Amino acid sequence: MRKSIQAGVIAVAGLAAFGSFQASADEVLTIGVVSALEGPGSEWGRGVDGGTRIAAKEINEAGGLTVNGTTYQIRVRSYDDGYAAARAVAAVTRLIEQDRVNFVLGPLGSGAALAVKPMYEEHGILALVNSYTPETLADNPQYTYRVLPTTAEYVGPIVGWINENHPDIQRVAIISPNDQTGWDSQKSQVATYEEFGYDIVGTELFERATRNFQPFVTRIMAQQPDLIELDTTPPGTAGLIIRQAREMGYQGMFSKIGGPGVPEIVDAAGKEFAEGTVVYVAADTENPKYAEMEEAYAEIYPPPMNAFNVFFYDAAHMLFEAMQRAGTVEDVEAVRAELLAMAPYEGMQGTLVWGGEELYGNNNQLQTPTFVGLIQDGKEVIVDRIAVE
Amino acid sequence: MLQLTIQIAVNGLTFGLIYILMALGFTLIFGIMRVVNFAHGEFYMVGAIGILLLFGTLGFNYYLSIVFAVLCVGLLGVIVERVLLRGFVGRELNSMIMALAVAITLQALAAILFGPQEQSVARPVTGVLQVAGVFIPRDRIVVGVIALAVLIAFYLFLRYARYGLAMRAVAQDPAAAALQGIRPGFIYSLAFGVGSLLAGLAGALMAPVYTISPFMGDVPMMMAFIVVILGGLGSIPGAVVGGLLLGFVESLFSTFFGSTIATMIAFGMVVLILLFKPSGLMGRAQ
Amino acid sequence: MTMRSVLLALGFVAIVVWPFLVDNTFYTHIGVSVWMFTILALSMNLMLRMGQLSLAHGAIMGLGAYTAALLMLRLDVPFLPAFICSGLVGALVAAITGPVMLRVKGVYFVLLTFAFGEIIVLMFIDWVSLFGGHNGIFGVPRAELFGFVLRDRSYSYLFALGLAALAYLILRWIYSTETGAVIDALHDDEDLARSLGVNALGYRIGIFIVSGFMAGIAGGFYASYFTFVTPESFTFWTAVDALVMNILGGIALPLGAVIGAVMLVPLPELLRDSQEYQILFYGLILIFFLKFLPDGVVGVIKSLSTDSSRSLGKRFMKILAWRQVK
Repeated sequence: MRKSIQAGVIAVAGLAAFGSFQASADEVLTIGVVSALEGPGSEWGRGVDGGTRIAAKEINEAGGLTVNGTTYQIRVRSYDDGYAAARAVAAVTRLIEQDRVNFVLGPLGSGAALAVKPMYEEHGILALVNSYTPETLADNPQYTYRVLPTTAEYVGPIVGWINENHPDIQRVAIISPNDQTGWDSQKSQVATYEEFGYDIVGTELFERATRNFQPFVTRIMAQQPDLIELDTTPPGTAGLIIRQAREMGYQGMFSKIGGPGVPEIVDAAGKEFAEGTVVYVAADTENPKYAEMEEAYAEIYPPPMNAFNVFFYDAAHMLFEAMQRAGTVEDVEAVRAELLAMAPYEGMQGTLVWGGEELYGNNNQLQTPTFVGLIQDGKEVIVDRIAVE
Repeated sequence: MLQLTIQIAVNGLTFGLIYILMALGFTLIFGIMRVVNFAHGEFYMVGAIGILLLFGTLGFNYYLSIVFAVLCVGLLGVIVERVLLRGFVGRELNSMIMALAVAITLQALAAILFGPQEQSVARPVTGVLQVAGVFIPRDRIVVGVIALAVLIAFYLFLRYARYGLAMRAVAQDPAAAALQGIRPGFIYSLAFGVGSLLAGLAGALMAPVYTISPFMGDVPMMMAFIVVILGGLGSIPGAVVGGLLLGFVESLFSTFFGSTIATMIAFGMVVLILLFKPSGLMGRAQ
Repeated sequence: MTMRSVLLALGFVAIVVWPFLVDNTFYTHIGVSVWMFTILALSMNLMLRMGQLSLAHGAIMGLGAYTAALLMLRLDVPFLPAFICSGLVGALVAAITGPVMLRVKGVYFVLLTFAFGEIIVLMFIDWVSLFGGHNGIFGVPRAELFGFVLRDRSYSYLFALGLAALAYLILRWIYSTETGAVIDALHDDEDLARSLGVNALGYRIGIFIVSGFMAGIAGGFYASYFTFVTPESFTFWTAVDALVMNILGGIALPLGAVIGAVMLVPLPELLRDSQEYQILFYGLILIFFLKFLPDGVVGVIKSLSTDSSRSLGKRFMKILAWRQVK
């Protein structure tokens, strides 16, 4: 089935290419994507690819990207890195040497991002990455930019909201996956909750493959927390923790400040158990543009669409516009300068600006608006929208 | 403290029963065919996907869905055995790698057909049983009772049924069994079918309790592995003892020290057993 | 005969000058990976030859990689000594664990090494202050031989090719000596060999040490070539890859391990365009080979010409038996 769709797409693309050849002999602009497209992690990783492809498709369908008088059809070369550092190196080598790209989106994940960052810097490849570790932006990289907000960017506003709206909460336990993402994220969680004067009664790490949280929950509940923070726990797993904790008699609140995925949380936890959970909302699903993207995404990958698509959709559009402003698709320096000068940029969900100076020592982080969500009756309801400063 | 102890014990028992279900099939297949079935976790996954499809998407009755899904997994097992593994009986290394290849293929196929993300189905049983401050979710009780019933049925089958006896005969001495007129080929299919059926049952039972994804089989596979080595490869009573032991060890150590330490301790036990009593706690001496 | 040696010589030259010929860093990168995994596959071949499949070899390679990375990065040890140490650590692990682990046979040994390897990887992950956890260690210096830094991948290619060729020759040499005949004999019929006075365990430990050294060296090369080390590269799947290379190529000859690496390592790159189908194709190709070419490529070649290596073991036993009689 999917094969025939693919064949159809290729045929249509071929016709389109033929048609445009008749008209104006379009040039082709190739940009690269490296991400986890298969296997564990790919539900996130496909967001990098999906968002980029949707943006490229929009431009191609509108006649292509006109840069300095030349019109380009955008071609996205996407390579899977299987969420592994060594394979990301192979994929980026291929993009640089084989496909001769100057611009790459991805990879996803700390190990992969840190592995390819020296290659981006050495070869002067402008890269828009997705990785939770602050190391990504350490040592003042010249070509590596992060276009996705991490916990450090949004934990402050959301804890502030909890502090204001739930003054009774005192004791907080924080649960994170046991890997680099979880560790880095947990550090910002602890720092932020402490800043607001909460008692951190427990910090826990679990292996990502864990599905049985009963021992874990038994342990946490011995500390009698008022709030369990689920951090960057994958949404389905977060739902399981919520359910298993409720079944063991936990009465307190849950919050999940890290990563999107309310439907998965509700599915796994059950409607009544998920009720009242405070969540970080990555994408406003009420946004009409979001539904359009979901449709476009379904043509590329099987639904559901992950909210990461939104950030890479915006980032890809920013990149293409930067090329237009710079009047070149070759001169990476000029495109980079324009990319930085373009912000504040009106993205799909609000104003985006470059920032991060106080955390990373440079402004290579794209800041996005923060949405505070609440799970009510099995649905995500946005209760506050906090714009970037 | 007493309450916590009982809670840990109850948790351990519920984990242990599922481990036994996984390990029984694994040990049965090894005992009879000398195949280390690296694809065992994938049969667990297929069982869960069956529930996702039949109960989740098509809305059939949960218990009917279990029966149907589990029979399908058993059939899949028979096909895999007949087509791919039959030629390797007795060649431990090659059959193990073939099982690995089957595992890779099934996992990739599931990811293509159902997507890589975690999915959930509604729970057929909800609520919590609370006895003296100890919490037991009702769905786990259902799982435990079904698992126990199947274990007893399986035991009776091996003990009294004609084919059960034949299986045990082949496991003990294939040549002698053949002389008795038992066709080893049929027994191989039967053993692999029943073994994968048990794994599929574990998956089908746990599908509503946990989440469903193409990669969900990795951990139960590892657990079956550990249980079977603890109890003794090929030993049925060993699988029961090993399963309960691992269930309690995991419950105890992950409650007090966290899951990574619990996993390390489990692997440590495996190394010690293999070094000092490779035939396992309940295994016959080599 | 002369025709054949001319072809061989041509093939050899082609392999050596290949990166300079194609002048494409990506192809060179694949070439480097091929020869790096050839070393691991050859080290696995030693184990398989004596009938003991080790699933800990990924972890041993990891120990080598972390050793080289830590020595160079934390203690500023120059490349060459650090590189040799990575091999020595592999050999050391084999020397320490061998006397205990090698008493276990067959499938139990497989499972034992599996658990042992996983414990090592869990240690990489959990001992964060030393091994850097899931992120691993980044910024490992590149290989430097006699003041010459291998920055260009073509030189890394030649280095890896040299190492692989050396490992291959060592294996050929071992198999051609009496030791080779003994390990074949141990594989074929250990009881008989032991009854003839062969110190079975001693030979096994010796082979395990050589094999561990090679796996460690492969790891040391990995660290300096990729300039980072992460734990996920050294799980039992790496050992499985090395095993699959042997199966595809054929276990009977060391050449099989080489052929297997040449076939398997570029495979993901060839399948890359098939996107989400690539893992599926990988599995199906594996099934196909196991089902229809169980003795690998070498098996096909050997079935065409008559075989000699296995009978070497039998011949050796005959000699021993004859000596005993005398």
